[in-house]
Amino acid sequence: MLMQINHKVNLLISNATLRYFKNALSPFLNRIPVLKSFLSYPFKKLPTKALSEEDKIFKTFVEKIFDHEFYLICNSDVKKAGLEPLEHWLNYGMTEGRAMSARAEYIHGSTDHTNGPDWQHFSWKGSPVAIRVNPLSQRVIAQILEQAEFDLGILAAGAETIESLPFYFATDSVARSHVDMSAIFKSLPFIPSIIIVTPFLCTGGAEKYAADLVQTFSQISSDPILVIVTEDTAQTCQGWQSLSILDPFKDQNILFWRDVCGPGYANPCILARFLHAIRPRIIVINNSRLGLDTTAGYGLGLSQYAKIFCTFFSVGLNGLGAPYGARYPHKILQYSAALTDNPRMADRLRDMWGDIPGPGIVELPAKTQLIDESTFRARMCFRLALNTDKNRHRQWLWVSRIEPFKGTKILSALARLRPSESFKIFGPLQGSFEDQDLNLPNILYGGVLGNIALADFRNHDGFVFTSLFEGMPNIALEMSQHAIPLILADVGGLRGTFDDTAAKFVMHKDTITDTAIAFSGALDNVCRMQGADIERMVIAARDQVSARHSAQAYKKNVRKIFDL
Amino acid sequence: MIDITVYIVFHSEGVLAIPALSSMHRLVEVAKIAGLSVESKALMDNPDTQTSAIIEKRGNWLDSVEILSYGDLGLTRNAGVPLAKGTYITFLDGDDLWGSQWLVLAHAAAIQEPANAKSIWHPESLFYFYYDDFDRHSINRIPHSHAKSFHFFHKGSDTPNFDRNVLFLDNLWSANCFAHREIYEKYTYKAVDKSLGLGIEDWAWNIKTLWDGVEHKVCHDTVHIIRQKDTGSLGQSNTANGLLPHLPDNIFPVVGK
Repeated sequence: MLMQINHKVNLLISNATLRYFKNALSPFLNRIPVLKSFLSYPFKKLPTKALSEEDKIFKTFVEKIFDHEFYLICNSDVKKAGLEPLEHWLNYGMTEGRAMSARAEYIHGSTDHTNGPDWQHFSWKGSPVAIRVNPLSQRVIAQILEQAEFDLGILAAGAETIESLPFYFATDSVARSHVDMSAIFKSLPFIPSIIIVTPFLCTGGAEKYAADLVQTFSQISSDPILVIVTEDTAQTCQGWQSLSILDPFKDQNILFWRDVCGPGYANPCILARFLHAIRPRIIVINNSRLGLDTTAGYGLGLSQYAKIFCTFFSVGLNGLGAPYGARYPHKILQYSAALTDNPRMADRLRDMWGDIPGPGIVELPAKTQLIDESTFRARMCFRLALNTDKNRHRQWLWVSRIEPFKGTKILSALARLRPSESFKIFGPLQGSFEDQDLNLPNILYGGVLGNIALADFRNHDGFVFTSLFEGMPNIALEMSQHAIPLILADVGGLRGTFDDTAAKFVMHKDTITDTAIAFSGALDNVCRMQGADIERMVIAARDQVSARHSAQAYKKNVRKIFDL
Repeated sequence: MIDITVYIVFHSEGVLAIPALSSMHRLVEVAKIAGLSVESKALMDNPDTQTSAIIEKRGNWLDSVEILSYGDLGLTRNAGVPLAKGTYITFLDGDDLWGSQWLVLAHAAAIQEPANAKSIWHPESLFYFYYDDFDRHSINRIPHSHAKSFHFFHKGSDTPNFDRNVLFLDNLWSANCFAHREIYEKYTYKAVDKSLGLGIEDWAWNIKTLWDGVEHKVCHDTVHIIRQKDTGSLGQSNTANGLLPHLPDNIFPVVGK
């Protein structure tokens, strides 16, 4: 058995490593006889491969700059094992990232970002190595030490250590700030006049808002547009082009900020200086934390050239969930307009921060895709025919992200109040059905809807919207195109679009149960409605959405707000 | 004609003016020993009482002390230019120190250039030191792992592959440069305007001069020694005020590969 192990070890172990093992294990040799046998076995030396010409060049260079004393002080294991420092570094330390000298730095393996003139490039056993030596001369060190005569603080880190202190090169922004500054401008194909800063390319109300804005900018202006994505990388949002709500982005230049900057991307100072260098005439910050921090910190200077707009859709429920609408408006309103999609948020912002001098608070209602008249009529006729059967099984529709802020507990309570009816729910699930009490026999999950405009909701009796807080929920606007009665929580900007002729509004009560009872009452009202009542209701909803959210209305608003 | 006018600029440096003044004195003495004629002047912009008292007591070797009230570093430097008799002018900040070869080597480099070149010269390196490193002190040549003091190497605009776009995102050269007086006469510093969020006079000056074709070069074997403060430095103040550099209207980065 021992021989078998030794045979295998023969293939793996180096002489230096064996010596290390022997030293490290020596206190235990007498207590564990097998160890003694193991270590006294006559291991064969690893066959030493002849160094290639490239390896020899590298080794010769390293011999000149390698700091033996430094290496042994920093690596007590190497010292204890009595290993030769340079050989250890070449064979192990380099791949383990151990420093070779305080006066040199190296990158082994991936040598991206080592193109500057200070880096020297080598190869060691087939892998690239870049080394940069501190160019500090003895003449400069002497001048530094000389000044200690006037202020000993110069030597605070230690008189002996001055030449070993870290060093940076002005032009190496990657080392200094972890940002590849040269890459940023290289990645731009043109100098944009309009810049949209948004964090993600995914399905979401804010993303749709930005996409609609970009589409309209491109329709009414010839100004070059740049979309800066601050959180997603090209990889993390791979496949975003398949999301129909983001179609307007496909024709635009997208700059993935993290990809071009590198690890230091989240520094607002860098984004501010970039925007300042470009000097666009319009900057829209759409739900981007980095963009908001940039505006808060540098908005005054940026606003000398650009009109800045920061979107805020809601203040949340007493700030729960830390929405940006609760935490940033007062920091940016001196330099930026607060752009919102709903009148309730606009009023709230005016009440709270309206006295701050600046560009003010502006409302741009969201755009919605309107269905053609004949399709709408067909949907309505189907519904009116369905309504003639008063004894039919009732099925309600619920579409949203499935998460607590969307009122899933209310939905659960409502389903319990109406066990003979069913609730068909759609949307991406966050968390679990169990946690949100949605595991009920009359709650049926339909998955995520690909295209709401084309979905068929004719067999549903009404659309139920239980959300706890909102900006302007797009889903309610989209549902108005399906000729379906709307039973809506009275939240966000819904009242700015719909009145009581177009929807059954339900106020949130003090408890979930009371709110569910109120919703149930509204559902009863819908069940009692005659065909003519339903017709009036769905037409009113459709007309009210058309008036406020049509492409024409949206375009007119964009022209006015952005002065295009 | 005097070879070099050296200006040291004070406002409220307090006791830190003492080592700065001593370092400047050494600098000037070394230059004079090397055969250069040097004019040593102080510009005091809204100085506080303590700084004034220190300069009065320890600055009697200076050729002149000008009291100004701009409240702006750039405008103070501008005011010094017409008062200077030197062919070359250099400005020093009143709380730093300088390697003693700075004037000699910068002057030697400058006069070797063709007459029409007139580059702006920067020290090869900056040594940033933190007093608090006494708490992170090392008694051998291996630095304490948390020591903050460091070396910073300037690169000239004549360096191969120098990317001047980077200057939009970061200032690449410190303010204490050395140049022919015609450079300072042609390119004045712009005042900080906090009401517009724009300023950082030396950065804006670096951009303006570079884009106008003036090379920024480094002078080998020279060093400036910069005091890093936990609070109250100009850089920290610029960040706190959200300042961005003044950019000339016609200067934009070059984009694309």
